[in-house]
Amino acid sequence: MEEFTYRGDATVTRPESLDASATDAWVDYVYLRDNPAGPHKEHWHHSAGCHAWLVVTRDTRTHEILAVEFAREGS
Amino acid sequence: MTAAVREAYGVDLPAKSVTARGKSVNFIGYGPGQWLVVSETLAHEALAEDLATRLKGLASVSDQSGGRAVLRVSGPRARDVLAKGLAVDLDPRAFPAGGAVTSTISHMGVQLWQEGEADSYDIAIFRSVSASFWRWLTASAAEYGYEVVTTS
Amino acid sequence: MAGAFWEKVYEPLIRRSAGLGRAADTADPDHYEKTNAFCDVLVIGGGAAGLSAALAAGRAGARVILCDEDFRLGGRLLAERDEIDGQPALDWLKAAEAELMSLPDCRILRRTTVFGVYDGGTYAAIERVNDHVPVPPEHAPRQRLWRIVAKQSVVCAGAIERPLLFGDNDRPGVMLAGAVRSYVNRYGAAPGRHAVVFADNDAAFRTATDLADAGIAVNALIDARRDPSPAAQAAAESARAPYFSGAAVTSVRGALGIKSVLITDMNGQNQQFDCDVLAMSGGWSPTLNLTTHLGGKPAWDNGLSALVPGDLPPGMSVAGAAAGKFSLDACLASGEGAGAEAARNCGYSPSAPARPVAKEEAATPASPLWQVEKSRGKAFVDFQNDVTVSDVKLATREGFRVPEHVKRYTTLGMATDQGKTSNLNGAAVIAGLTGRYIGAVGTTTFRPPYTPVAIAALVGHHRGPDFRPTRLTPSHAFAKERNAVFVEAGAWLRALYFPQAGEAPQDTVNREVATVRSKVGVCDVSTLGKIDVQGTDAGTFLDRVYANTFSTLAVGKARYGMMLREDGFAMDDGTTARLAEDHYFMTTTTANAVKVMQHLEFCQQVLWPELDVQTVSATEQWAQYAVAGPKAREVIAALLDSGQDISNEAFPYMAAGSFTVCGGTKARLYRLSFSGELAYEIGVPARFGDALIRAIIEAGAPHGIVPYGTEALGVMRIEKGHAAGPEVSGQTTAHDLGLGKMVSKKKDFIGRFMGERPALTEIERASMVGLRPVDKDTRIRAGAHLVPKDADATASNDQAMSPPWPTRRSSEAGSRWRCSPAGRSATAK
Ligand SMILES: [Zn+2]
Repeated sequence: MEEFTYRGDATVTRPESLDASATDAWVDYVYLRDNPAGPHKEHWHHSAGCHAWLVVTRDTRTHEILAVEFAREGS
Repeated sequence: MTAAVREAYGVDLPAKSVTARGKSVNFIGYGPGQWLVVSETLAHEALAEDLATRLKGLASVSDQSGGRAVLRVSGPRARDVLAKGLAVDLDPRAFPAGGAVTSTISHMGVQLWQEGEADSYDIAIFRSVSASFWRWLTASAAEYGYEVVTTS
Repeated sequence: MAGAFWEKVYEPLIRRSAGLGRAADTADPDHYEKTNAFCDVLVIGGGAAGLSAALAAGRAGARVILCDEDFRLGGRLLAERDEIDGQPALDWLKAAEAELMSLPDCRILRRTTVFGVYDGGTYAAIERVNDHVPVPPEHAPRQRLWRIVAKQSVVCAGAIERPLLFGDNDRPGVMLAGAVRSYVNRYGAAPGRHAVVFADNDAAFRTATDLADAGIAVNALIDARRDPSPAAQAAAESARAPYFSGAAVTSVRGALGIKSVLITDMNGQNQQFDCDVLAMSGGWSPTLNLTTHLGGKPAWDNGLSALVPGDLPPGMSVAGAAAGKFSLDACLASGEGAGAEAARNCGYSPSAPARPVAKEEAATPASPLWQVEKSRGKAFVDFQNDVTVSDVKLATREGFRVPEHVKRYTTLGMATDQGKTSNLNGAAVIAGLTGRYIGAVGTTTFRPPYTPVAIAALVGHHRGPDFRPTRLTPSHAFAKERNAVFVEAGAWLRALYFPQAGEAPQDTVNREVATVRSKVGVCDVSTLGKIDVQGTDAGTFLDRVYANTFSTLAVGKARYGMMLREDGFAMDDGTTARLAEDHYFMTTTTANAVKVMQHLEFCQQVLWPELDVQTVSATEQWAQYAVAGPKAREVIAALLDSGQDISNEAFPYMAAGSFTVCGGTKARLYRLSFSGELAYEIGVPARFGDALIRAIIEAGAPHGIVPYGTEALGVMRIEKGHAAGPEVSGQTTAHDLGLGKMVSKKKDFIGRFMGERPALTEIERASMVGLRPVDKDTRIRAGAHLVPKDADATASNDQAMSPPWPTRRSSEAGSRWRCSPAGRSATAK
């Protein structure tokens, strides 16, 4: 579907610390992703529409969309 | 901002994807907190300047008048023509009078809104793809027959 | 020479006899198109069930789309002599069709097959708009692909009759009983002069009555069921033909056309009957393909001896024969019920139905024959791919016991019909051979498309120049007039160079570069991504997305910026100007314009929603030209309206400001240099782009100005040592690109932390270097090998990171180039 652009896991949070002790948190944030079978919160961009970033709750087994909210409001 | 717009242009800023026509300008909601403003009287930069002055401190204004072409597709087969490129339901049951939408037509980004007659749609397209868009539009309308009317 | 003989003689012979056609060598002359439709209830199939469903939903007020693959609605009603409400079924059909056409929101698509089911209630259908005429009318498509989004769908796709498996069942004249009835009842065509009917179900024996009533002799009715069926006996009586139960056709005589059949009755006695048509029926398989496209598995119904729909996709229901409801009355009832239910699910209130009724005849249950054991000759299972019962037997002997494996071993069900008539018969043969219950054998998976679809229909308008949208620059018309050679840059078409008459491409580029270096040139750079960044926190925002700092940039100044990805690698670069305290204007590379916009929106909406910053793409808004060369200032000055100063003092390097040009047109001017010399970029609203390039050429004429293309731009930026798209490859860091000093240590920004990882900062990393040929008359070509000065051109001396070549090869391919390092340190190790 060209209307939306998929980004991925919306549950990760960008670390605030730049301290060396934050390395694990940064590696987690940039590289490590869970791959749950079931409902999953994901970032989608309405790229051909209003340009909003959305948090889409999708069942990864059925592709059923369970919930959609604006990322800006969710945070 | 709603108050400022009402005061300046005599219209309630639409909260959804619909058009709201005020004094000489038309506010078209196309996303949360975003409006495309179209005017047939305030030409080009004049509109952006007018908005920037009247909404100072309330909204960011970016002139897009050079980057878009606006055309109107109307007639009893208008929806059939647009359906050949637009995956949006324009049936009056789904797309009420004054509705607006940002989407793609034949893979080209568009803003489309309905005003006036039920079978009439205004479409803002990007300047760079206007030749490709025109080829798609004429190819899609050819089956039904079409007439090109230019306005100044 | 055996190969040549094969290619010239055998293969053409085989292809001809197999009926394989020739590939076309010219483009398809016809026009195809795609379209979208939306509805409450999509009814798939326009037979008795489908018409009832569409009527029920349509009368309730729902938006209905009814698709049928035939050019006439009615399905089997057209081929049978049924009665509805005591009247000929065709009368009911006529009234139903007229009513549907009178409904305001019911669209009937004839010659249209729904061939795929997708997520979100999306269905694909192919309409054969003009396949039936030799040449479609002008401007009319041959085929139209429909993408239908439906809240509910009712699958009334009917059922497909199964052939019986006996020897020589492929002889001309052997046909499905339903096909025989279609010939006789629908088309008024006699399929033969004398017929035999061979079947295992009551419905098929109606064929005998229909044939006899049409004046075609029926010589025998062969019923595979042991117990005589009253209905079949009645049909035999009306056709004045002998009836045999517990019998089977065991062989067929006649090579080019059937002449007679040999039957074996229940006592094992053989009898021969003359006939030139054999109507056969092994029962009907519900057409449930669409119910399985999203993963649903059909279920085996033992009573019906048929696969019936199992789990259905959301919003879908099945009615009529597709649901295993084979009688006409059950079709009418289930269609009506499903249509009303679908409308109800869309929020409409269907009225209590006064539904039409068809007389239900008491039927003897079908008892599937599956296979005539004792018959001679080849018994075809898959008539399209020529797979016989003995092929399936061989497969099971070889150990292939599930349909998916047998299919791949024998090609059973792999022809263009995808096993519509053969899959279940194949499964039954496997079940028999492996001693299993047929429901346990399973079936193969149905996938879209249900029926073959021309690629052209999937492509629609998007062929040739319309393959995808083309973006044209504001100076496109000008460039075309100047005979520019264009290059695709993403969706953009950009001028590559502007050849003059008789000029070789390299000479053109050299001339363009030389003119810019010595005089002045103009290049369209409007394709660069341009992003308007506004808001009180715009500076803070840019500090977080760029590796370097922008909040400290003075109003009226521009700065080169490098953006990293969060993993620390370079993402994009460009120049951003500060137009006001709370207003920046960013440029990105052409290739990354969309990606950067999306990235900024992510940062803004997801990472830092608390910042007061707004971004919007202004790429299309501005026509922007680079005017570069020693005479650039004179050219720009000539364009400016009087009283505006762009002397070096008033408008120094990296200045940015608003001016008016050509008598009051607002323009933005930036003093930037992409290629090293005195240069400006001037932007005007895009509608003035064409006028501005012509004005620049006119103003520059006294100075010998030339338009230059992206090739010259590339040459000059490489000579200048400017990293660009090819170097920002996703594997390079700011350090690698020689831009490490730009990276701020004082703030957090995207890519800051991960960019400091040891592997990304170690000194040993590959880095960008400039190269200059020792012999200046020669050119370093892409892919050339580098060897140390005066060293032999051998693999061991090659400085590239590559596995060693065998010595013999490297001396042949060895480089003529002797390159000395230039720019940053490039030492040959
Ligand atoms: Zn949206």
